[in-house]
Amino acid sequence: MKNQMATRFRFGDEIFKGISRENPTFRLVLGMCPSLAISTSVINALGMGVAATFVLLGSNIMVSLIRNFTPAKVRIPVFIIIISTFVTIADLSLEAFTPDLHKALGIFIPLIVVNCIILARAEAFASREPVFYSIADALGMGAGFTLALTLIASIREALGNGTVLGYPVFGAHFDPAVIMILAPGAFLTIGLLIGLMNHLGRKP
Amino acid sequence: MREFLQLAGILTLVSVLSGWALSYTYTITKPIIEVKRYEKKVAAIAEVLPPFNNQPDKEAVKIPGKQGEAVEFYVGKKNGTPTGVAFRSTPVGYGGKISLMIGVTPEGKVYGLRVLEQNETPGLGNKATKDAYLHQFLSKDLTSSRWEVKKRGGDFDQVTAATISSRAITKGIREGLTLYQAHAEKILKGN
Amino acid sequence: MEKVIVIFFSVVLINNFILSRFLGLCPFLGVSKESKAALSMGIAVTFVMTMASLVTWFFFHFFLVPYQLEFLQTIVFILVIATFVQFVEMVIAKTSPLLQEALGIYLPLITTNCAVLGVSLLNVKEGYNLLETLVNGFGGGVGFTMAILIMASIRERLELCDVPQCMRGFPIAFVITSMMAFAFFGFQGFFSK
Repeated sequence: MKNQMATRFRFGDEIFKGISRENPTFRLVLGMCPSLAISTSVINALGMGVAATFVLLGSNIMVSLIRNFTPAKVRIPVFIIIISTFVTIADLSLEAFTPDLHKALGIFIPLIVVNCIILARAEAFASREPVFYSIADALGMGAGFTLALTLIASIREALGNGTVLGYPVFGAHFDPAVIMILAPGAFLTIGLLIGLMNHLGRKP
Repeated sequence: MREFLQLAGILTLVSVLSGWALSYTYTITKPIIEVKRYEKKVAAIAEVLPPFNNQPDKEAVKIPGKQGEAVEFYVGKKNGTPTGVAFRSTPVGYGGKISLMIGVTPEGKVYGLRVLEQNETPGLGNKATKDAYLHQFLSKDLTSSRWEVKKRGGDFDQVTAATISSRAITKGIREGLTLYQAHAEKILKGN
Repeated sequence: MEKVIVIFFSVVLINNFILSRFLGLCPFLGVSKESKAALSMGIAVTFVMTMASLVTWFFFHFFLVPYQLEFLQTIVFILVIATFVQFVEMVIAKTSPLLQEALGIYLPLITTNCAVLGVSLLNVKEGYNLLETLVNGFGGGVGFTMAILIMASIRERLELCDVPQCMRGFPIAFVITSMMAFAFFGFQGFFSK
């Protein structure tokens, strides 16, 4: 009974960790490239987050399943093959079922392969932990990434386009600061957000 | 030796599994992707043409364009008589190529315009790709107007602070019309 | 010939991999604290990007296209890049201690890097021929090196400033990058008439 409770507690904790303490975007500062490029609109951010979570789940599960049969020397090539397989599956599926999102995300779908988050989790966690917790880790990191991306995108889309998810939020007379959708706005938003997170997370 | 076999073995196993998974996904998604691409092309053509009841994309006439590439002219016909021709023009704008689908009447008057792809600056250059701006080109042909923006001595408005994008669109339509006029007879006659 | 020059200057100034395309940020942020290290990283990245462009182009045109296996692009490219860099590392370790000391530690960091895979994918997407691919890869590296060197010089001076505690490290680096991106934005539209 106690074992069951401990397991359930840990499962939840692993998920929560990815969202807060070890948030890949704001704390670990991993996966910066898509975080900046894709966060121009909330719908794109959500799409990318879901795609990345899918790949992360698949990769963590597979890596964890074969962790006892994979000799250390070949683990990186094996991880790369597994991750890129899931990325290609995601890429083809998106192109077939949501072509508009596929076009919006562009080369950043195949670039999920080199998203540091996924390889880092495979290396640091999934290759050492059982499948059950690897799933939790993947869900947590994926959720954390998606939430972070959506937060950045909300700010950039609202200030730079006057909309969120395509719905106007500031009324007709709002003149958007287009720079927020462009490169400088991206860097500025994430810099200030990380600074804010650091400030809020500071021990008094 | 044993270790080598183990390494090679696991790599082969993973590669084979991955190959199988990918081939399977590919065979499922490929037909769907192709259908979607085709539908998108047909929709773009239909948007810029007067009413027709044939299949313009199946009756494409290829003409060599300015840079030697083959430009496809899709002829829309109603009961066998041409009602309009659609074709693509790709001028270079501020942020790269702009892909424009132009629909003309058989006489060469602009009937419909649709921007398929563009990379202009949001809020500035991309205003030149919106319907409100493109509206001024409808019903015009090569003889009715001077095909340049007003700032450069022509008859067409440009978007304020987005002259380059505006000029690109104007130029794209102008060059497209010129190409059409030069080969109109051949295009309308068909292959 | 003209197209090649346009590609080079576009990728260095207008569509800079870091400041405009958001590719290659991890090494950029990680190694831009000190000029000398930044230069070494820049050279390593330029080398890998150029060679990767070359190698992936060959694989794409002589293997993937003839067998209609374009959908395997991602997986083949990343494996080719990883293998190639591994190979180069071994060669450098055995032949030139000088190069090894200068570039050695940076090469593994660049393998799984958005910029390298990104440039390979872009070359294919734009349909570049061999020369254009090489120029794009090399130019991408040059642009990266330029950006990282500027960043390193700024960050070195920043060491002497009083940055608020919560902004130290990554946050202030991002804000500076934002200003650099802003400045480079002025190059947009350079090649339009």
